Amino acid sequence: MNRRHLLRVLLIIGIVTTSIMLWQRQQPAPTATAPDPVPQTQAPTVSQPEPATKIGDEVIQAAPLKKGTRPFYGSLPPGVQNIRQLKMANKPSPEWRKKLVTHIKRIGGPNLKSYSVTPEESYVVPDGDAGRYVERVTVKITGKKGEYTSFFAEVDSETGYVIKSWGAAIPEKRSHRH
Amino acid sequence: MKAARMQLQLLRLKKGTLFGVSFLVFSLLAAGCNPTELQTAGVRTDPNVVNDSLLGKAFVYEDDPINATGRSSQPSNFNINRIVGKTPQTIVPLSKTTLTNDCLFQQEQYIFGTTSPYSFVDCLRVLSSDSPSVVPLQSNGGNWIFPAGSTEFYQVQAMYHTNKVVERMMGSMQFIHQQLHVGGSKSLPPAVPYELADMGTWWFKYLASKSQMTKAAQLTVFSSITDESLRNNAFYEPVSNSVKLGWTSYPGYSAGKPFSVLMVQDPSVIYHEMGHAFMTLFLNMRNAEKIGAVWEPLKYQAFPYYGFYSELGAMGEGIADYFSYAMNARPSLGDWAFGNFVFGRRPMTEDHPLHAPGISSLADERISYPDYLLYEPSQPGFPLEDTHNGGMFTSHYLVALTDSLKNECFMDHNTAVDHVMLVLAESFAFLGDMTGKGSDYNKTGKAIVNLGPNAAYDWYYSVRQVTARRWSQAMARNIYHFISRDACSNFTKEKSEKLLDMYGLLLFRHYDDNGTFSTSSSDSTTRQDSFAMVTPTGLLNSTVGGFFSSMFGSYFANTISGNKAAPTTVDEVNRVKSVLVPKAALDYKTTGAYSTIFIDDSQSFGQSIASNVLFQGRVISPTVGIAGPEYNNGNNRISPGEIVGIGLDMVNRSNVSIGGVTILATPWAHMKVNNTSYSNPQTQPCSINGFPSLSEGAVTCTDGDVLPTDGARFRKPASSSSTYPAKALHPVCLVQTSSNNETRWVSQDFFRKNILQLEDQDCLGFGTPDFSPAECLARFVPGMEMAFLAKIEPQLSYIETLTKPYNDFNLTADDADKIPVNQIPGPASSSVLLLEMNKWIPPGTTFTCRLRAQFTNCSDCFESAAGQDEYTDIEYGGHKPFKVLDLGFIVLE
Repeated sequence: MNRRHLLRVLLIIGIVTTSIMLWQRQQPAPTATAPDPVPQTQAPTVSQPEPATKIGDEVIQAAPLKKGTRPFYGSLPPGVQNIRQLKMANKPSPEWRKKLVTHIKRIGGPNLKSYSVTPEESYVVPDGDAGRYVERVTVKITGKKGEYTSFFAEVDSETGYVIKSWGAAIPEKRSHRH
Repeated sequence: MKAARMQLQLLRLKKGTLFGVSFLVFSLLAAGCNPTELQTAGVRTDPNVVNDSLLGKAFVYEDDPINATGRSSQPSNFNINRIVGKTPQTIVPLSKTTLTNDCLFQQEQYIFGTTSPYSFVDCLRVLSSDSPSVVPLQSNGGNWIFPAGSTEFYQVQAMYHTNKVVERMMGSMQFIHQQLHVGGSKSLPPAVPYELADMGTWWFKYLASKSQMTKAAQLTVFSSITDESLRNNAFYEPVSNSVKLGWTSYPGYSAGKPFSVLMVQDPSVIYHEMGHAFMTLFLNMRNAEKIGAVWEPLKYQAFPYYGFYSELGAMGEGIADYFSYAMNARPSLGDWAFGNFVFGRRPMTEDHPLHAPGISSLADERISYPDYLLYEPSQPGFPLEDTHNGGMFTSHYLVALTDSLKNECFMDHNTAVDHVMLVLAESFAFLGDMTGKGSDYNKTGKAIVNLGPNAAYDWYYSVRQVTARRWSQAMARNIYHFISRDACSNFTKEKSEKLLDMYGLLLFRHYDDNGTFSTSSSDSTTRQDSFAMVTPTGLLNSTVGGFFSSMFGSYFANTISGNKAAPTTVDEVNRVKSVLVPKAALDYKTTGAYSTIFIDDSQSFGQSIASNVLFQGRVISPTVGIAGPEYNNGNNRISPGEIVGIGLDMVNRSNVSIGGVTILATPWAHMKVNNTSYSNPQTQPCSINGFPSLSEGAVTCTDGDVLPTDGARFRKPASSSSTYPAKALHPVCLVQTSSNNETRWVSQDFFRKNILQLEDQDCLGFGTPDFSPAECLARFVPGMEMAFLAKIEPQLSYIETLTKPYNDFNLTADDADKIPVNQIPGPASSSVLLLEMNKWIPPGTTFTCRLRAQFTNCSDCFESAAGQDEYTDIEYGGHKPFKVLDLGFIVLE
């Protein structure tokens, strides 16, 4: 193919691309539907809204790496080319949840009235030059004196150890005055 | 000649291509352009609604009982019927049969204009309680009219006011996006992402599980109150993305009586709680990544509350108060729900009658930082450390800023609020950015905020928290670039700086608008910046994407890569009230560290502090078996096996108040790594401020020797084939060893191996992901390794600051008026660090823990010298931005 043919092909591609972009803009407004609040018997239908127009050519990352059935979030450690080569720092155990609950009960002490631990997602994160199986959970606790909070936590999938926590409820109740 | 013909041919083809594409674009645009299909942002219209119909409507109260009637309503005499309006208002679109609502967002695009509305169906719901079996209310035959005072009635009112905020903010966000990306003068690459609609971060995406756009923002209204957690309370709960509205325990209330004072009766409280939600949304606007074809939320998100007292938490309260002002233009919050009954209502202007004498809108009588951090309007002489009081400088500044825009720029209330929301959103989108990029237009591949994605959680939540200084600097930067240089030249840089200064917020020397790379040194000879404001060189043809680069390369022409650029400087003439204090002013008491620390090693303390912290949303993980409260002996000394609360009652040696004191016991780069091997890692302490001396085993370190670019910690590697990082953040405590009349300071790992012969399993923290043998013996417990002291008065200690006014009052008060000692607020749990000691430590062992402290109005914590650039994110891994507190102690039996 000589340069002239190449330029013609590029011209056609340009026209087609532009047409597609503009055609996309004419599509009906994107809509997403929230899950119904009543208890579900099937997965809620939540759809990602399609963009009205694709304007960027940002680098689109590949689908997430997976370790078994778990997605891997982050960058593979230097020298690790394939996720299959990734050494793991822990081994998932069904006991993690029980251990986490035991820990919460221990540090909550006698003031702890009730608690709930809800698993949100199982995934793998980089940990130094290895990977670590973790769980993201939401925790809700109430105290006997009326205390309440909730937060997200990232928990070791083997030991139930809380690695990180964030997103605590923001109360309006104030410090006491004299 | 042949080459020349080829060039000509190429040029013709290029011209033809350009013409063809341009023609096609124009034709299609012309054909597709139908302005009538575009809706005004934030306005929901439904052609099926008949104006005089009650369908989809209800009668609502627009304001709380006090402000609606103009009288001082009391629980005993008010009737909610009296404040309900006579004109029915739309509650939900006609199509809705349950009490849910939709959210619409439109954004502006280059060339193509406004998008069609992105809608999120059922984004809002109101429920009577958070019981799993509760479902949204059904309409009453198509309308939403229920008996006044009924549970159903209050659910409808809650929907009306919540939806009002959401519609207002959707309109604001469209304005913000348009102004930042399309319409404005673009002198600074914005942090609010261009692809806001596509990313889905215009709504609460941070709550999503992966591959799920979001959950609905669910507002839960407690109209039948039985829950003690909501006594005098309302809160925003990120986990469920809900706002929960409680009730007020007013004087005269007794158990079993109906609850006649409800938060839902006070729309300002709803607006305030929704303010927390939208501040969270602003912080996370950039926190999504495109995986495959789908934008997914990052696994960690930036929330506006660290638990307990912190400056971000305090500012969050002030900003949430401002949302109430934005909605009703009234500069006070909670007149009814928190008002006369519980003395909790908050003013937002200095002229408000609730304020103490001496506070006025005069330049030197404003609610300024840090003077009013502990100010409580209902008891002005008595300090109280609380986020709601501490944040009043924020709300007062924002209201004053809005007024300035009204006066200087002839804006109406809504337009002025839109501009304030713009600078707020832009500031928080940057400060909360966990991708590190800071802007879509940063094409350098290098982080400019929060050090980078791997370290962003640690940097945002502990190492480099959002303080009043970081926030006010971001606000100044964005006001300058997006208002003074753009929307309203009347509101000049000088006026902006003077206004900030009235509030004590001109706490910085320049605007940090050169986008210095997070991993660059701040040193003037080697610094690398990503933006340039003045005469940039080395222009990067940078926009959102390569396709548009050729068209819009000039939009952000000031984006450069890797060259030094001069940041915009503060005019020092404008700094009158904002007094900066050298870090040397933060000091131990005269007799050194021992007189400064207060220790609680009682058995009950270990349990109570753990529980207290848990109810603030942090889970501490003390070691089991090797240390614990069972070893606590209550002798106010540090003994083997104990878990000890350590408070630092620091003194302010200066003659002005200091605010936002943060003490970190988190790992930092103070050790030089000589050997990274798994089996025999070797480190030496860096000599910092002369400690330890070189003769005591220390070495001289440069930043290049020790600072990790990725925030890596010196933890035990996962496998024996791995090595320790060569540059890392190390645990803070060193241990002293003596032999042959020679005293040296060594790492705990060296001491436990060579002196105590302890194995890994005998170390603190063994078996945890963060296990480091370098904290085998003394370890600050994760979750309680940071302390916050809101304010220290001149020449007083922290505890004296909190208690002296009470004690002074008691000295002269009649016995009947004296304040009981147990009612004098002391230091909060947030001022305490938790230290655990290995039970195998021999008594007599000496430790020094190298803590790092900083405060917000510090003059020499943020740059090496006046005129130098600010310390960069990577330098926050070291000692330069901090005062190093060497906390020495001997372990006693």
